[in-house]
Amino acid sequence: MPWPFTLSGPDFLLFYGLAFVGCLFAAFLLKAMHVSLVSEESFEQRSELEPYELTFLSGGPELTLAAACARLETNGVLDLGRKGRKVQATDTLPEDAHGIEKAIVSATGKSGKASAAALRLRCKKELDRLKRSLVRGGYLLDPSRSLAFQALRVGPLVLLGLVGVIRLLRGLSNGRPVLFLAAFLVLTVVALIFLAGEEHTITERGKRALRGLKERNAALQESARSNWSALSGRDQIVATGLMGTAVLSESVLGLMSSMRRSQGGSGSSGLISSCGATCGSSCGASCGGGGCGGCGG
Amino acid sequence: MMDQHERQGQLGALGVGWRPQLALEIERRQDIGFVEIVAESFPNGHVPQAIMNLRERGLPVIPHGVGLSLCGAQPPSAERLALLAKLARHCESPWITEHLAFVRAGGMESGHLLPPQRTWEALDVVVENIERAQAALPVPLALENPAALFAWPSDQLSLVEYLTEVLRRTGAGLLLDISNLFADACNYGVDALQVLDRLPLERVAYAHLAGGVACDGFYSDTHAHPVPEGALDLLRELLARRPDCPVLLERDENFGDLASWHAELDVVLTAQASAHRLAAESSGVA
Repeated sequence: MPWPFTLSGPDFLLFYGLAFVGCLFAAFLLKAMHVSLVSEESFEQRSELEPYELTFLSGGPELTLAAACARLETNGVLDLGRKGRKVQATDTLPEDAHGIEKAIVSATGKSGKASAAALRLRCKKELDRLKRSLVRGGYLLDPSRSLAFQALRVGPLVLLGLVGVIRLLRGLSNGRPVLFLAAFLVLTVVALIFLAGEEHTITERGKRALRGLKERNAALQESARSNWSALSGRDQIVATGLMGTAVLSESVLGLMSSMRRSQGGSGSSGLISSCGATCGSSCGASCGGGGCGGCGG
Repeated sequence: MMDQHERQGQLGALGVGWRPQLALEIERRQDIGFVEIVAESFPNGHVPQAIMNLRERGLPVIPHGVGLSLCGAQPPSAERLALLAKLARHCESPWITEHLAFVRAGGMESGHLLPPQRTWEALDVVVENIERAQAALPVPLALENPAALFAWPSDQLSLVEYLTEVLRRTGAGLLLDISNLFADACNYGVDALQVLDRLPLERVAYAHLAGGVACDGFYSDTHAHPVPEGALDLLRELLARRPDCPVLLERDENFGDLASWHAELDVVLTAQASAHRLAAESSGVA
C-alpha cells in the first residue's frame, strides 16, 4: 500500500489532522484570493444599486423575496398569515410594481395562494436576473467561475476524505480501533457541507458597495429602527437590504424559515446577520415609534 | 475667537431637533440649516453616523442639555459638563445650550424642568453655577427660558428682569423658547410682547418653537401637538424685531404625521422670509 496508508494509526491521525487543517486554510485562502482577483477586473459602471439588487447582494434570494413580500403585505396585496407558511394574494398590484413583486403575485396563480417553496421556484427567473445584474456589475462572483473555484477549494478535502474512508474500512476489516478517525471523517463531511453550501459569493467591490451604502444611509437606518411605518415602500426595501431580517415582521420571518426548510435548510442566507425569530415579533410592522433598537442592524 | 454675532451667523435660518424618527426626513430636507441633539441621549459622547453625515454636509450640530440643573442649589455635575464638552468637540459645535431650570433637589430627580425661584439670592447661586459651567465648556453657553409648571410665591423679579440680569452677569447667550414664553403668557399672564421689547434680542443665539395643548385651562408645551397660532404670532413678533434670528422646531412625539412636521417647518420659513422682506422694505433697500 502506498503512503499514507503505511503510516501507523497515531501517525495517520496526526497526518489527517494536519492535512485537514491545511485543506481548510487553503480553501479560505483561495476564496480570499479569488474574490480580490475578480475585483481588479473592470465591470459595468454603476452609480447605485436598485433596492432589490441591494437585498440580493446582502441577503441572497431569500432576503429579496422576503423584502418583496413585506412590501406587498404592507400594501395590502398579499396576506402572509401569522406564520408566513402560505402566501395569498388579496388585492391587485400597483402598475409600478417591480418585476419580482409581479412574479410573486403571479406565483399565487388562479388559486391566489402559493407555498414558500413554490414562490421561490416561480420567482427564479426574476431572481436570476437580479443575480446576473450584480455579476455584470462586479458585485457577485460569476457562478460559472465560482463552480470551477469551488471544485478547486473542496477537491483536496474530498480526496483527503476518501483517503480517510479507505483507511477506516481497512481498520474495520483488521479489527483496529477507528473511533478517532471516524470523528475526523464526520468533521470532514461537515466542512464539505459548509464549503459547498455557499450560494453566492460577494466580491470586494460588493463588500465596499455594501459598506458605503450602510454609511450613506445611516439616517434611513435610524428612521427604520424607530419609525418604520413612516418609510416609503422603496425606503423599506433599502432598509431591509441594509439591516437584514432585523426589520422584518414575524409573518415575513416565518416565510423565510419556510423557504429555507423547502431548500433542505442549505445555503447561506447572505452576509447580514439576522436576529431571527426572537427579533421578528418586536420588529417590522409592529415597531412603529418604539423602534427596533435591541435588534441591532 | 469668534464673537457672538459670528457664532449666530454660523447657524442657518431653520433648525430642527434631531430625533431618530426624523433622521431620514432631516437628511433629505435641504433647507435645514442646523440641528440640535439632546446631549443625554448620547451618554458616551459620540453621535450616530446619521448625525456625522449631516455634520460633513456642513450643518452645525448643537448639544442641548436637559440635566445640568443650573438653577439648583448644587453646582453643576462635572460628569454632565464633561459630556456636553465632549459632544461639542466631537461635533465642532458653535454653541452648547441648557435650561434655566432645576431638575433635582435633596437627592431626588424631578423628571421635569422646573422653574427657578426669581429672587436675588437664588440668582447669585444660578450665576455662580453658570460661571462654573462656562469655565468647563469649550464653546459659549446659551440658556433657555423654561415654561413654568408653577409660580413661586416669593419671586422678586419678573421673567424679563430675571433673564436680562442672568445674561448681563454671565455674558451667556439666550435660547429664546417662544413656545415656553407663550405658555407663560397663557398660564400666568406674562406680557410676552413686553418681554420681547425688553430682552436684549441681540443675545439670542436662536429661538425654539414647539407644539402644545391646553388641558383643564393649563397650556402645556408638549412638543407633540401642532404649534398653536398664538405661538406662531409670537414668533412673527420676534422676527419683526430680529429678522435674522434662527428658529428651531422641536418635536418629541407624534412622528406618524410627518406631513404636519414639514408644514410647520414651511410656516417658519415663510415667517422668516416675510420678516426679511419687511425689514428690507423699512430700511429702503430695493
